[in-house]
Amino acid sequence: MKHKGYRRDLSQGQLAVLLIGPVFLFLSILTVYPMLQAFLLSLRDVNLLEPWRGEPFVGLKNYRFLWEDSQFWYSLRNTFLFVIVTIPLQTVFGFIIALIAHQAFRGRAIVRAAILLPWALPTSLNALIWRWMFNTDYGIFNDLLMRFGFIEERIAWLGMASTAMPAVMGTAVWKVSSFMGLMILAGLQSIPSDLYEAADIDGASPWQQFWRITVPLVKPALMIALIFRTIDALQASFDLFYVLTGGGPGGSTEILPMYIYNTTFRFMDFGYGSALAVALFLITMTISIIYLTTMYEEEES
Amino acid sequence: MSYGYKYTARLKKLGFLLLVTGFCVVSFFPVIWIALSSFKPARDLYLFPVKYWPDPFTIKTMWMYFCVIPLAASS
Repeated sequence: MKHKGYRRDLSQGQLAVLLIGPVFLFLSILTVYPMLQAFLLSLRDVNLLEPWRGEPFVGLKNYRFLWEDSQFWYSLRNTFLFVIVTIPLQTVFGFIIALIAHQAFRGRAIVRAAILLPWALPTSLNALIWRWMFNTDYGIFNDLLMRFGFIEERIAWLGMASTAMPAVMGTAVWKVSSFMGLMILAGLQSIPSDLYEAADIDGASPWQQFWRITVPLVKPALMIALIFRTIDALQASFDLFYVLTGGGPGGSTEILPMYIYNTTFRFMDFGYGSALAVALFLITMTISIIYLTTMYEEEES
Repeated sequence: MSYGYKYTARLKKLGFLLLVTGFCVVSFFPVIWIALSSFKPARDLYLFPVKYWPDPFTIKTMWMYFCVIPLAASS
């Protein structure tokens, strides 16, 4: 049956609006609205432990308090320390993993499974395994180090400020290097082999081939992996820290997402917690913009 | 000359093999260790020095998980 009256041709613009509209609406409901709500909440004094005070509008008071809050700066420092140490290590190990997996050899399937395994396991499960391995009394690290004579007494890896952060970083590097490896491997597989053959004929050494062919051509995949990883390390490392150290000892491994969680859900200060969340969002967005600008500039050049 | 080339090639192959083995050990070890631990008696989990191999081998924890604890049991 034909409904002649309803039928009309759509222009390209109208078709674009029709196709993008639902996605835009979906994203607005799921992303923009909660962000807007968090920002509006950050302008109010909302503490659920003192409900009789209501939700008075306080303007930028929460942001002024944030600026003077030493715990905020300390957790931000921890977050950046985590990002600055783990991302380069993950990139280097990821590159090594990708180069290994890219070679043709017997048993390559096992190596590729080994790449996937740490990444495939949930972060909280990984963290539980490593917490057990780092345990002072019956952990495997102390056992191995004592067996090989590197230490004489057991070390409280997660119980001392000097070792807790490196322990968490080690766990993160173990888990995420495989993800970097997979992203870089995808980039490696897109490089035509005739480029290497031509370089061989020209007498380029493997080292030169790596720096002149492999690295530049893998760069787009690497940049995307770096953006993902940096955002993830800034925002989503919460579960790893929460299970491994809980922010301790003495707050030495408290990162910004954990400080936000504690402020909001333990101390029920939703107003200040929202201000912290907005600050983290702005930091993450600034870093993402820097990454993307660099990527596009390099692509254009 | 030919001997030197062969020697270098073998050395490279050995280095690559060591790298691959090291990577696999580091990658698999925590998971294998935790899997082996699930077949140890509970008291052996808290021993120091650590017992790496489950001895005696038991499936009690598996039985507990799948048959007793409501989370995994069919109830």
